[in-house]
Amino acid sequence: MIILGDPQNAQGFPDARNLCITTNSELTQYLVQDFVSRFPSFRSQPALEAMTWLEAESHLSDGDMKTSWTETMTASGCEAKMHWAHLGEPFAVEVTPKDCATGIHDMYSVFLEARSASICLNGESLSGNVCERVFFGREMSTAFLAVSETWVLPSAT
Amino acid sequence: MPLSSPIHPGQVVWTGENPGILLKEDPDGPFSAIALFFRIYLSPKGRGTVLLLLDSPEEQRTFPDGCNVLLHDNKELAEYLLETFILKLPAFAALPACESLSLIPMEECRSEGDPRVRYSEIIKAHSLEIELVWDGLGTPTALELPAELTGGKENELYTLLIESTNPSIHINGQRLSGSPVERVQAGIKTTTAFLYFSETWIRPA
Repeated sequence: MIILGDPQNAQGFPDARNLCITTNSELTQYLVQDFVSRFPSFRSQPALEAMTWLEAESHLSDGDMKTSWTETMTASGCEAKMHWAHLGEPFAVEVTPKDCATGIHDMYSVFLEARSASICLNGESLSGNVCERVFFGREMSTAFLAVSETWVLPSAT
Repeated sequence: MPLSSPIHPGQVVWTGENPGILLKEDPDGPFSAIALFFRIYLSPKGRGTVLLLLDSPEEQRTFPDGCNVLLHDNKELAEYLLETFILKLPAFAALPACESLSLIPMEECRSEGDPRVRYSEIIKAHSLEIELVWDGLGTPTALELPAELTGGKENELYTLLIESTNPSIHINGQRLSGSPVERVQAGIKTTTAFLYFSETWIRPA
């Protein structure tokens, strides 16, 4: 779980609310380098390089994906919680490199829009609200669940 | 086959994981043991975990005389998958064991291993401890199939196939006999033991 509570601040936790909690550091380094750092919302955020890496002590998923969903991870001195509510109908996407966030992959996924969402660090909610964006030609909020996601590197031919 | 818009116009039916193991004692005979596992994230009946396990697919042997069972942590989901998915697959529809399934609540389920090499699902229910093992795993292949190339021929499918050449089914420590056999899915030669991850069924618009 990557949380950038102060994305413009090049400091890690606890000086800033920028952290990553992981069960597999090697996997996370791969995901940050090859995926997250290429996403427009994360690209060039000073916090991404400065965030503190913490080893996960626990992970819990809770909810039904009809109304709400919560992911909670804990590490030494830290509990991080992501909560999605007012979920919309699921829809499948099939994205080519032209529209893909990395610019080089095909991507298959199932998305559920969340009309409201929150991020909590040690019980304290981060400020801010979800907002509207254009997502593949459709107005959609900046909070979403994405499940059964597969990224495929197209063949060179 | 890219869509005209990245958003699929169809309706998501269910999405999750659906690995399976189908074994034969005689390559030309019927299946001698079957395990079909579901870890569902989203469906009309909610989320949950379901295992169809048939230790004697050709017989109507109810539990505990036989182990032809549907284990679940969500009964409604189990019944939904049985009716709308499992029994629509030609390999399952005609099996006598599917007419006498015992539905048993699951107490515990966890996955272990690494899908690059060896992966397993461990399930506890009633007096049963079941281990499904997929060993000798191959390279993952992303599949995007139109309805006519799927078993049920009703819905489109996105999935990630990883075949296994050395699977096994264990019930209370005892390995069921039989081996996987060759099968062809959408023109791809593979085996009757497979991991299916990121599986999404979509009803065409």
